[in-house]
This record gives sequence, C-alpha cells and structure tokens, in this order.
Amino acid sequence: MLSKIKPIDNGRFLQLQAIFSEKMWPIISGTEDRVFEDFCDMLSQLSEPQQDLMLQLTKKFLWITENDYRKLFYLVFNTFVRSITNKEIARIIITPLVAPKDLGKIKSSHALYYLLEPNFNRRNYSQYDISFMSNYKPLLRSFRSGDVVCLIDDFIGTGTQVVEAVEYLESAGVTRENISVLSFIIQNIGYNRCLESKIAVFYEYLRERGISDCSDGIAEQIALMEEIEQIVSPPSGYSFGKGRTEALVKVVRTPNNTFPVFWYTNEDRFPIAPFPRRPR
Amino acid sequence: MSDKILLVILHTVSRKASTLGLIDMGYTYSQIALFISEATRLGYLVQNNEDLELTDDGISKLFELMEKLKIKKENQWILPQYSYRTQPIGKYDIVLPDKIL
Repeated sequence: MLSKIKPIDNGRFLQLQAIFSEKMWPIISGTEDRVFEDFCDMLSQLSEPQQDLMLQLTKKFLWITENDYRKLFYLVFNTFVRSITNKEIARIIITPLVAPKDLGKIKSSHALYYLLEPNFNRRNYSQYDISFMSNYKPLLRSFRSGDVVCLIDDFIGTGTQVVEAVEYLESAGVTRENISVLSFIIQNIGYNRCLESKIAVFYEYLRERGISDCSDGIAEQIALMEEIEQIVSPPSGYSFGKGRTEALVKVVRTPNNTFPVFWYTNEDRFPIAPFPRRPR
Repeated sequence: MSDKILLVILHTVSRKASTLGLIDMGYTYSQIALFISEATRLGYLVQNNEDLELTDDGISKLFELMEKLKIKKENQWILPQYSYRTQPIGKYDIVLPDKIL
C-alpha cells in the first residue's frame, strides 16, 4: 500500500541523526536492527510538536545492549564488593531477581545470570566464596546466617518486584540485611521504594522520570504525550509506562516501564515502534 | 552517489521540501542520511540552525546537473509526490459525494 504519511522535515531528520551519532547508536541498518529506520517511521506517524517531544525524550534515552552486560555487571558488583570489605562474609550467593509470582518463568534476570555464570572472573574476587544459584530452591536449602544473597537484574522500575522478592525470601528465612539487590539501572521511584523498605541496592544508573522530573514545560509535555498515547493506544495500566514510571530505557528487552510509544505497536493506528517488546 | 540522486537531494533542499521524499523512490532513511552527509562533505549543502541549505557551489551544481540530465527549467521538473497518491478505485465501484446538494 502506498503510504500517505508526510515525511519528517530535514531539520528534524538532522536532529535525529545528530542524536544517534552522539549516542553512537547505529544509523546504518544491520542485518537485524533497523532502529534508525523505525525511529524515522515512528516520528512520521506523529505531528510536528509531538515529534519535537520525542526528539527531546530520545536525547535522554538510555540504550544498553547485550554487549555491555558483562562490563556493567562488574562495575555494579565491584561497588557491592567495596561495601562489604570490612564485613565478615561467609559466602556470596548470586541469583536472578524473580518476583514470587514469576517463579518458573524466564525473566531478563535469568538471561543476565546465564551470561555471567560460565565465565565469571573468580580470580579477581579470590578472597570470597562465590556461589551461583539459578533459582531460590538451592539457595533456601543452603543459606546460612553469614551468607549474602545478591539478587541480580538489568533494570528495576517501580521496585514492586524487588520488594515482593525480598519479602518472599525473608518469609523463607533469609534476613533482609543479608540481601543486596544489584541492577544496572534503577528508576528513582524504585530506588525510593527500596530505601523505604530498607533494601540495599547497588546500581550504575539512577534514572529520573522522563517528563515529570524535568525542570520546566512539564504540563505541555504531558499534554503532548497524552495526545501521542491517543494514537498509540497502549493497554490500560501502561500509560506513561507501567506504574507511570516514565522510563526512557532499553535493555535487551525494553522494560514495559518505558513510555509505550517506544515499544508498543498497534496494527491499525501505530504500526511501528523502534524498540518493540515482541518480535515483529 | 549518482548524479540523479544528488540532483534530487539538491532540488528538494532548494525547494525547502523534505529529502525523505526519496523514501518513495525505494531508498532507506540511513541511505538518505548518507547521501546528505556526502553532499555536505562535497560542499553542496550546509547545516544551518538545524536546517539544510544549498551553498553557492550547491546552486551551481544544481543548474549543472539539470543541464546535464536535460531538465530545461527548474519548474518543469516536479518530483512525483507519491505520498498524495491514492489507490485507483474499481471500474464498477459507485462513488457517492460527501454532500448531496
């Protein structure tokens, strides 16, 4: 079918290219990713003021690829290790962060776990006894009071799943003081939730809300995003990202806390998003 | 970049139109981005306040290419605006006007 979409103008096209170059995102489409193409198509589906908002948000967007995972994990893990330097630790147990309702499902924390476990650089941490456990069962069987449990994940949004996971482990006998959460990225809202619940969190990126934590023009931006969501029409509960997190993040799988315009597609009205959560 | 593509790029910029009209000719956004940066590198285009403009060299190149590709007058040569084209309707389809007077 011939498209009736008006192409984006030269100025905005240049701005998008500049953002991609600055962030070192690929412009030339590879065999699998056509993110630049999809960004352009996504913008073409919007009005010019809406395009300008999307360009502003894209400037703040954080995209972590799988190539960064190991490097980022060691950064976060080193921060954690520094915090336990003078403590008596019998063993460090590394396990994927999974909320109790998701037990048995495959989550991104498992992907991270399997990426790390086979090649983990134990030599750098030879003073510690480090165990990898792929789920909570062996952990709960072998946990002793001197052990520290590291729950690992790539992204934390509202923090609800963290609190649920910690409460679950606590009910099974692991004390809260012996649990640390390690994540590459955590949204401010999730971070505060963990602080309130007295859960220790280690991270590399602490992220604000994309619009509501801006210094000015919040009302206008919210109005524009509401217009955009009229077109995108995400399912209820996902407006401005799950829990209205307003995240601007893409990890291996785009978190549903990210503004849906970046990932939600709707065959009739909004067929193309640059970071879809499902295969097209 | 072929002369024809360069001509289209220079012509659209001179008309303040979107170079992304090339999408309708089957090029991808990243290819168009490359064409623009190539034309900029050759000194035909310049980025000004986040917009594209022709340089003096670009203007002479535009005329040179129009001559070379035998396009007599600039306004005789209009890019097809595929984005405004609609599907032809069937021979037996009945069309009712929006308003009946």
